[in-house]
Amino acid sequence: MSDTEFNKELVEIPRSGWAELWRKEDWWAIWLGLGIVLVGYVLFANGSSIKWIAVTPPKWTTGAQLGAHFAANWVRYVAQFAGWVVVFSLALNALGHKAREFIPSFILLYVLSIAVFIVGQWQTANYYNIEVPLVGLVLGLAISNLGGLPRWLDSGFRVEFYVKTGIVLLGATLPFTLIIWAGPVAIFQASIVSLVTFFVIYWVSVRIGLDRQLAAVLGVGGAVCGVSAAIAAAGAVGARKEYAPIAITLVILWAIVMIFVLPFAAQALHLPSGVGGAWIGTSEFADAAGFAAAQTYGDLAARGVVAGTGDQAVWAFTLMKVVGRDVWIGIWAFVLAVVATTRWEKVPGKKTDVAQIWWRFPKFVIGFVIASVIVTLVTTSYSLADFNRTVNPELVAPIKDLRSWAFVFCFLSIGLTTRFRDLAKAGTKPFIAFTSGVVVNVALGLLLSAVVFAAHWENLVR
Amino acid sequence: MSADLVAGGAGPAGLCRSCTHFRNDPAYLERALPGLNVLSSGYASVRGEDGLCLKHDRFTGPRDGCADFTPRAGR
Repeated sequence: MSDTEFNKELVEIPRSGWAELWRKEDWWAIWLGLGIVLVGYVLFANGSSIKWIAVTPPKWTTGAQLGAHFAANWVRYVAQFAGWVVVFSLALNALGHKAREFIPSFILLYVLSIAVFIVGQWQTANYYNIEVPLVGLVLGLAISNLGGLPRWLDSGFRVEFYVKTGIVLLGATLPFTLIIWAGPVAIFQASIVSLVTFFVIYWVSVRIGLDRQLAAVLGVGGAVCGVSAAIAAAGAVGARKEYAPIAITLVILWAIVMIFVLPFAAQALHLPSGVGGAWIGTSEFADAAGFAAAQTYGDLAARGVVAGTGDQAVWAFTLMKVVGRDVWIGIWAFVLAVVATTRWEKVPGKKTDVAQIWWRFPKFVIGFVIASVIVTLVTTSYSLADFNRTVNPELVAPIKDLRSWAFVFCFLSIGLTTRFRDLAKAGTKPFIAFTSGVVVNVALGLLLSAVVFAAHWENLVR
Repeated sequence: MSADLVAGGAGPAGLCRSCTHFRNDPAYLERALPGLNVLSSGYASVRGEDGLCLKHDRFTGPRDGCADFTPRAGR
């Protein structure tokens, strides 16, 4: 890349923090997610529903059933596709993506998503525990690694944007009272595991001769929220450029392995849905990967393969990962910055501003909480019978269906953007250090979820 | 943090945000860091406004600085 090109690569740092409201995808996830919730509520309050556009392929056993569904509902799919294109284009254009690249990419993503839904809803596939998230991930990985797509198509494969939008929509299906009730335990459990995982990775890294900055980047990546945490830590400690790609490679590899391992390990251990979700939330490394695993386990519960409900796995995962782990990244970054600049080497030009706790706060969590509060307030005046008869089918269930679309976009995008040949070589020592943290994290996460706090997670109720 | 960010122990001559060596465009970072867009994003809040210093090949923040500060053209 030439210097001339480099000169285009600096974003002006606004004097006002307000610009973040349209320059960060976290905020766009909030605007989109809350926008959908509010539109859904307005329609519901006026005797209508958003469910017409929230169509998804149903469970099916014969091709005739499937054909009849699409023949009767194709207009709804076209309308839904148009709706997604409009709102995502608006957001991604504001973030700097080109509509001429995003739209063809999203057309492909939407068609593949329908295919993923169709396979995932096939009763025969369900018999073999082939669930929607796994279908999406495997299909995406196969396309990107066996065939390959032009890199400009990545404009539409925005893993983080889709998962954050999905998490905000998930807030609308999760009672706020549950966040208040279960949140403190999630924070306590996640804090124990995060601290232990960080210090294991850091200690092993330093013992085998890795640089302390790399140790810190690997440690936070394994302990908090994967790649995002590793990047935040890299910025906080002023890490060398090559350290972040090492952490990225290790997080991606282990996160994908855990998508397949954790749900079926939990099933083999006969863990109830909520317990399995809590374990996945404790031991997965990234939100997107974790939702793939938690949704898979929830789908197994929904079909009666494991005890509990489908919601319990996703709710427990969300409480543990999003509320228990993600929100603390700013504090981790601040503490590391202080340690790096005062204990490792004093650097006059390096700032350790406490405000970075807010700058780095994953803002989409705010949308998740607001969505939960909105729907909780709306539903408090209804009896359980009325909730089941009107509120759930007309408001909550359609939002859940749109959330399912956002997550399928995400699961597919993980696979479509994971090109193993392009990832940096991690090296043996970083692999050993990170893997030691993985082993401790998984074991401790299982102990806390399935033994110490088992009753709490098993009884996670509506 | 390496001492070479403050060559000779001198204080920063200017902030990275105004330095010609600083790159923090999200699209640039996603190209420069393979896999960043798989399970994260250059556009995420957690990154803040951090970027890469091409002079020192390090991550740095817009409010950091060093003695190698070189103002961007037009500043």
